[in-house]
Amino acid sequence: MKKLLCAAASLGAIAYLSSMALADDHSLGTDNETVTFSDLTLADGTPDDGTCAKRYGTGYKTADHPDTSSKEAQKTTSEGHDIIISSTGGTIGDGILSIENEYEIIFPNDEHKETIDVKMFATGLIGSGTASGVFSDGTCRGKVTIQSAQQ
Amino acid sequence: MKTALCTAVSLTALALTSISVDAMSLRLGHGDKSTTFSDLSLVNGSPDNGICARRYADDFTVKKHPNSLAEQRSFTTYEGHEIKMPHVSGSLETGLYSVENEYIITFPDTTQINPVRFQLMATGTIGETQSTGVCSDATYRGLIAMTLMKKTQLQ
Repeated sequence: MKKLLCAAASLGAIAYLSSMALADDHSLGTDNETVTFSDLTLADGTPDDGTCAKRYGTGYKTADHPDTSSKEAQKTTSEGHDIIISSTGGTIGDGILSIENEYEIIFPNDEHKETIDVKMFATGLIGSGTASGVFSDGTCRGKVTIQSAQQ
Repeated sequence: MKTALCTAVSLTALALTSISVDAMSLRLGHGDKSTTFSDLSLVNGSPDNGICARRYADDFTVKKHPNSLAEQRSFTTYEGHEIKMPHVSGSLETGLYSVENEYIITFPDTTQINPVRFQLMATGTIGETQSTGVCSDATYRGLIAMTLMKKTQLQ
């Protein structure tokens, strides 16, 4: 149970999970995950013009942000992303969970350092360490899979 | 028993046709829906004791039933299930949707009198014919995929 909770927590569902008294405080801020994207298209479903592959063609592995004490709200990645978890939500059911998060991401290959708002819906089995779903930034959309780094 | 589930999910489909809130038919489209389950286990992740597979192992296709009262979120299946849908919710973003529905299912099997509460959480991209997610009846859980079948009767 801890692993998926950790995954959800690092995704930004921290406040929610902590309040459930299910989460391990020690692991919440330090857990990170591997995020991969697939089925990339423009947001209306038409083929990618290159923008989406540039942003999401490679996934990333999150790491604690070096410049903040609020590790759970801000992340960096081994690929150089800068990520703020701007909004979180979700549901814990009987053995299942859903996550609705919003992120502000600066991609490492964007010379303008533009902040992109990314919305994600995902679901998972508690304890599996994996959640999968969909994401959109208003321009691009696709499938997303989050794997707990503890797996 | 397995059909019970199917019903539940199909209801996802059915139910949603006439209510204005977020519904699977609204998101996935109107028509028969093929539903499959995988990774079935007890809710705590322990291996299935066999009942789980009996309920959900087989694929099924959800179809509209003439006695269903969608406007009351009350559904009858061809297998005899009685299903109510006390809670529907979901979100919509650019090109995406999520659905979180809850069903109360009474199985036609007389050995199981008590209704079962069935939760469904699923996501998808708008315009595509498949939605995937997770489901749980508080005893068993698993992954679920619903696929809209083309050229079937509108529901």
